[in-house]
Amino acid sequence: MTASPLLSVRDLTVDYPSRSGPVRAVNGVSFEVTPGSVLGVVGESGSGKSSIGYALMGLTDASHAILGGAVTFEGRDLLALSRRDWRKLRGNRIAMVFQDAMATLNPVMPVGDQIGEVFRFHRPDMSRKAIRAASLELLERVGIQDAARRIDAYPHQLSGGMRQRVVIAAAIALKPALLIADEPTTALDVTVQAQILGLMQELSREQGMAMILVSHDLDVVGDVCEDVVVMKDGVVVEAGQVDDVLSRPRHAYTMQLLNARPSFGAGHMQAEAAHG
Amino acid sequence: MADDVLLEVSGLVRHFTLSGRLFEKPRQLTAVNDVSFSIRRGEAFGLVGESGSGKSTIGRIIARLTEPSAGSVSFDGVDWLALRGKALRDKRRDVQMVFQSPYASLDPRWRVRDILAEPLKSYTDLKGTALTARAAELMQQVGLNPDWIERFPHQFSGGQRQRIAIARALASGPKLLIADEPVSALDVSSQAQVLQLLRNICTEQGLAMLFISHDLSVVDHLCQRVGVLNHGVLEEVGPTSEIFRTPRSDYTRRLIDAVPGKKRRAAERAVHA
Repeated sequence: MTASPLLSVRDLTVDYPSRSGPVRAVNGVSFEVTPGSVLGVVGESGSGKSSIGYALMGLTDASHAILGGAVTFEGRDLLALSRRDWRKLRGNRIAMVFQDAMATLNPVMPVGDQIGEVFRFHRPDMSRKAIRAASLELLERVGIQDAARRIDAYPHQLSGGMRQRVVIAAAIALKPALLIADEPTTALDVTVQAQILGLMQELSREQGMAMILVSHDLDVVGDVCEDVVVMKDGVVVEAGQVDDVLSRPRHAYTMQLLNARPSFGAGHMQAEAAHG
Repeated sequence: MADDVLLEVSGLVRHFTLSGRLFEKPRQLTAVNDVSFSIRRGEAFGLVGESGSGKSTIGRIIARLTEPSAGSVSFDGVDWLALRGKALRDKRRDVQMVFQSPYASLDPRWRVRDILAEPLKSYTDLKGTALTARAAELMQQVGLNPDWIERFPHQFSGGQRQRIAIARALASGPKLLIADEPVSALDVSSQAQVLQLLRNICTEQGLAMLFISHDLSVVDHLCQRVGVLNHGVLEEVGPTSEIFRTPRSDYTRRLIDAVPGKKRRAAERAVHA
């Protein structure tokens, strides 16, 4: 038996109005996320993968995008939520991490205060002292060295990897049931990418937190996710368990994406030709 | 063999002065620290490292876009860094660059015809219909329809724009192509096509390439030899197959360990072998 889903997306459509009529960015997408599981949403630019993330976070305004279909999270219909309800849910039960940590963080506020904001907003009864202690603990939790000193640092004083750790710390502050990460490591160096992905997996396991990893990189998704949804032009072209989809892709587009990336360790093309 | 060598870089150093805060002494950063390597004729040489490792600075020094603090570069038997004025302008044709973002490297107000005509006018005697014919030929070489030559860059996709940038780099008939992260800004499927194009062009024309990248899989695939940079220091240099199969430096090993999808792909190769 499969566990009952934490998140269920049915026939989701996202339309963006334009002068020449609405543009359908997401066209009838369906998937489920069970508690604690990790789903990868893969596609190239324009595939609609980020639009799904925004829709699931309630970050699309009626004037800005028209949503259709059904999205159920912890038994609630997300598409029917009021702004007020969204503010209670967002950052609390569902949190999001974006690609560009520098754009996510406020440049003129110490990073500790930015994590503290989550508590001030959602836990108004917490004392300042308790908030600072909790923020410090989170910074340590996400592997920031010398956290007691870094808590008062401004974003520009931290490296890109550390900034993304701060963003993750703020995202997991209230132990959300679902973390949506949109290209969280694309702007980072490979070694830092490996560390951040490892951290996210560890947090997911320890806190039983489900994750949706939106990425263009099938190799990253293959390392981190259990299930995968492959998107092209707003439509799911293939979905299933990561191992199945990546080792036995059925759709030509998935195959194309897989073959587009050279395989590390396969050797040099000309060398192969010479030996072959 | 020594006479195979096209480019010889030795003891390259580049300092940058970081202006400190008020009343603070300016600090000095050594972006490139005593780097030596050589590239043979027709060879694809990869320079890998993380951001801040100095790989782009080395490319820019060789392209004579910035000056080193110390060291020497010999290119095709010429003391490359001693070139000045007209001699430098003449010789620039031999070393051409392809940059990371074709969104930034192509002037949006220029038609492709003009983008390709500029290097042709500077470095060849071609005029009129002969020049137009050569521009069309360059378009074909990079897999673009020559009829599109009157279009503007914004009418092309990212992959197509990078093809235009490559055509522009080829126009002067260079001996060395410096490609600085040429596919990092592109979608995965256009990445593969542009890499394939670069490889074919280099093989067909016997062109050497300095391929600067953070992506070990791509360098493994494309380059015969590789140098690994870490904070301005060349950790190791040698044939790609040796360096990536049996790395001697801990840093190279760390880079390799971080390559995503490595285990799965190795397992799959084992199945298919």
